[in-house]
Amino acid sequence: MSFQKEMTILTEVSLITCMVPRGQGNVVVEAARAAGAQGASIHYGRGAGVRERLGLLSITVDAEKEVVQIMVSKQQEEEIFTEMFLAGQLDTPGMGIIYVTSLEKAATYIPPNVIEKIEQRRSKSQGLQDVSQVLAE
Amino acid sequence: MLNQDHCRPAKLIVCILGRGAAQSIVERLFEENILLTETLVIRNQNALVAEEAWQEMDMLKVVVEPQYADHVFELIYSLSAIELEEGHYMYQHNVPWVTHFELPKLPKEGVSIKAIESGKVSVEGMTLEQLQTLRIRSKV
Repeated sequence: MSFQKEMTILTEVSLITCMVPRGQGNVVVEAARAAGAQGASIHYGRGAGVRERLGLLSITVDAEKEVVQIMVSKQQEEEIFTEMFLAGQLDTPGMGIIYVTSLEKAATYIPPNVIEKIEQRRSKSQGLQDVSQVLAE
Repeated sequence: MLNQDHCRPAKLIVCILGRGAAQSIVERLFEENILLTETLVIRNQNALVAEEAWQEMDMLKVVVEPQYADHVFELIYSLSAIELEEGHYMYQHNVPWVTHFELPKLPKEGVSIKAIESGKVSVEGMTLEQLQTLRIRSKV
């Protein structure tokens, strides 16, 4: 038996990944949410690399990191990226790094009212709808 | 030097889902053409629920060959009921290069440590030095 399940796929989305010292993740997430991000995921990690080159000074750079991941629409990408960069003070040496990955596709829970909105636009023959755009609204 | 025999393009599929739900999906994926899986525990915040509602969740990462990616994406989508749970999400993106991974062709009965130490053992496709490296790593 086979079945066809309807999938709502998001395109034109990016993933912003930000590594900051442990305890700073919430600050970055709050800034991202204030800029319009829908949510965030955080996990822990340990920084290595540049730290090893700092010699005795390395004790001043916290190796424990928080890795923040946020999925955003392409339209929001630049604004949220900037706010996260500023909140994380990533222009300060040793504070962390942030980068963007282009996603091929994504899927998530979409509230019924958003799906309704998309359906309404579809019925008005506006062609293929960008779900992430509706979510961003 | 690495060449195309060692490396090939792939896709990375990442799924954020309920705590403890990743394991059953990983077991289902054994039947598929996947290259590796990795499961992390993360904390997740979602704007659609309460402002400070952090939840502990699983992050499942799957690396798969490009031709199987869409099928595996749909399978994970279906198994994890992504569209039904607030805060759950998944995505897929390109991985430019991934190395080839295979398990050593060890006999079913195993290889005794004494045999490795004495050098009186041979395993197809592996030098004694490689075997000893595996053993050292297994002790760490």
